[in-house]
Amino acid sequence: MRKSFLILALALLVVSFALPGAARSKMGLWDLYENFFVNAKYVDLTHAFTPDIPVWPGFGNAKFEPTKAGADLGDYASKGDVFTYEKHGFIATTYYIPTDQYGTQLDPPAHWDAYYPTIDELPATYCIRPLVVIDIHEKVAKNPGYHCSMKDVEAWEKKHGIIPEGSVVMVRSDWSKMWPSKEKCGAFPFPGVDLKSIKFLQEERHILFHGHEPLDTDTTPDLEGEYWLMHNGYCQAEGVSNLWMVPEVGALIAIGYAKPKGGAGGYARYIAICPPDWEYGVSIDEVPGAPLPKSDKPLHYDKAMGMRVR
Amino acid sequence: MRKSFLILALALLVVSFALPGAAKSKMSLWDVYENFFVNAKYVDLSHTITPYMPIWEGFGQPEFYPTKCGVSNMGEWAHKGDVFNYKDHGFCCNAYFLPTDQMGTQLDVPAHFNPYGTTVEKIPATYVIRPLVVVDVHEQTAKEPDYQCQVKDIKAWEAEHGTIPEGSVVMIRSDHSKTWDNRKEFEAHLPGVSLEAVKYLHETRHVLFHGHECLDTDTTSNFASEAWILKQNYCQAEGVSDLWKVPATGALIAVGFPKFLGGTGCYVRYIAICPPDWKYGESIAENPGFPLPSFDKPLYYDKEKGYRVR
Repeated sequence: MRKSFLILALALLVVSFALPGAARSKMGLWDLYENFFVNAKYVDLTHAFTPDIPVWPGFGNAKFEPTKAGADLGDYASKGDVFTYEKHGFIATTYYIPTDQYGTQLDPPAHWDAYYPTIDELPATYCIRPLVVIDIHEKVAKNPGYHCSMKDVEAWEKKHGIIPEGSVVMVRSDWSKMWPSKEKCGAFPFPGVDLKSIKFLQEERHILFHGHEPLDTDTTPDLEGEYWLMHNGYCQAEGVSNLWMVPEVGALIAIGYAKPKGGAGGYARYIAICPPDWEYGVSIDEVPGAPLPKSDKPLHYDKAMGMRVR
Repeated sequence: MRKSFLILALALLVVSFALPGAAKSKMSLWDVYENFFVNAKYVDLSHTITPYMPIWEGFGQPEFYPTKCGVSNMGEWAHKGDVFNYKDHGFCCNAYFLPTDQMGTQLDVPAHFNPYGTTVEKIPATYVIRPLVVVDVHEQTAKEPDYQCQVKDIKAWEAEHGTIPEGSVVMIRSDHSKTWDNRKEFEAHLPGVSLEAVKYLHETRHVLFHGHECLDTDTTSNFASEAWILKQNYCQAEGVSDLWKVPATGALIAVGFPKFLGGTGCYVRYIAICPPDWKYGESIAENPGFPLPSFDKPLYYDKEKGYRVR
């Protein structure tokens, strides 16, 4: 029996060493989807885009209008007619947006530097990455102008290990909980991220980009953090929401945005993909998404609000 | 020795049965990223939004402008109406007039045709990553430019690759997107998707949504396919590009769009995530995305063209 045990032990040892490699070579991306993504918990980190969200006063707000016919279309529609469900079978929406620095954003470096990429010049590899969340919300609760510093980055690494290369690092301040109050979000000072920690994240940890909840990176008069990032070919996320609903370590982030040519900002969508046992978010199992639920109230354009509501 | 072999065989059997479960429980989402997503090949399936791209004539074209200062209390730094620029203000950004949310690479939501259907901001976060099925009808379309994808084309895909997975995104490849930059050619034909094919995908295979390369779903006078889809509270993708660069089976698709409140369509970026040995696309290992490369030529706003170029 001794010999048998030895062989058994050896066999198990060999198999256990081979396991990650075997799993890797055997599993296709569709197996991954079945095994990891159907039960994962999805948390949206994006504010809804509306005509009355906080924006830098120098830019002003967007306007939403029902789409009108842009040309004479015979009996179907005359130029200037608003498209309606009743008459035309559909509706659409027109947007006047004074700036591409609006809502939840991905800033490409062309925002500040003419020689670096615009939003449409970013690679397709800006798609899915590890998500690191550095939590400074308790410090911000005591000091609303607190800036994330090396101490906070080091504390995260002490607890969770080295920040992975290529990851997205979001700084949680809970500032976004004041959104969309223009008055509260317009208050100074606001929580930021200091230049030293930004440089460390980009130059020492080689992250893809960092993100924060306010609409600016720091409160220095010349916006030194954003200046350094944009002039060195890095992006950043602004106006990020719901970071209190995601784990500090172990989630992924999906990055999406509208892609206009020569765009100096990106209207973005960030979604955190969290482990199945995470307390927040919804899974594909729970919310498959097709068909979508029907509302009991019809959609209409509210002139006073300047957008479509129910 | 016979007994030992029996034990060895039994042990291997047990381990091999346990393998998928073990791999699943041992790998975290960050391991999934390291093992599968760093070397995967990313292919962008989205057109860039431009003022000259093909749009239904009833809507008209978008306009892009450099953002101007919207207020008069910025002192000497910026007067109301001054164009923000790198030299005087340190940054630039863009203003957009977007006549419709039905343009470019889109995700159509039910509210486009259906007042009780879902608007953009209510699309669940679980739309973000799904298996990608590509049904290839480009040879049929080459012979018959207005070919409409039939149930038999989908069944042919299934005969070759197996049942279409529930919850997947099914893109119909016609190669019509190759004419995108030649508007006349693009608008001359409309390879589409028949109502029977759309119904089969949703009712029998329970896909999340289907997509196509044209800006309409079919050539019927009453938009039979699109009307059925949106009134049944499903979504659809339009204006999808580059499907010839992705495999028929085995890739994933990432779906990202800004979240316009009350929106009836969205400006989307679709990225295919293909296996590492796939011939198209680039991997994170090849193009990590930071720092971004600088260009020899600066970005500027070309008045004639109506957008920023280099």
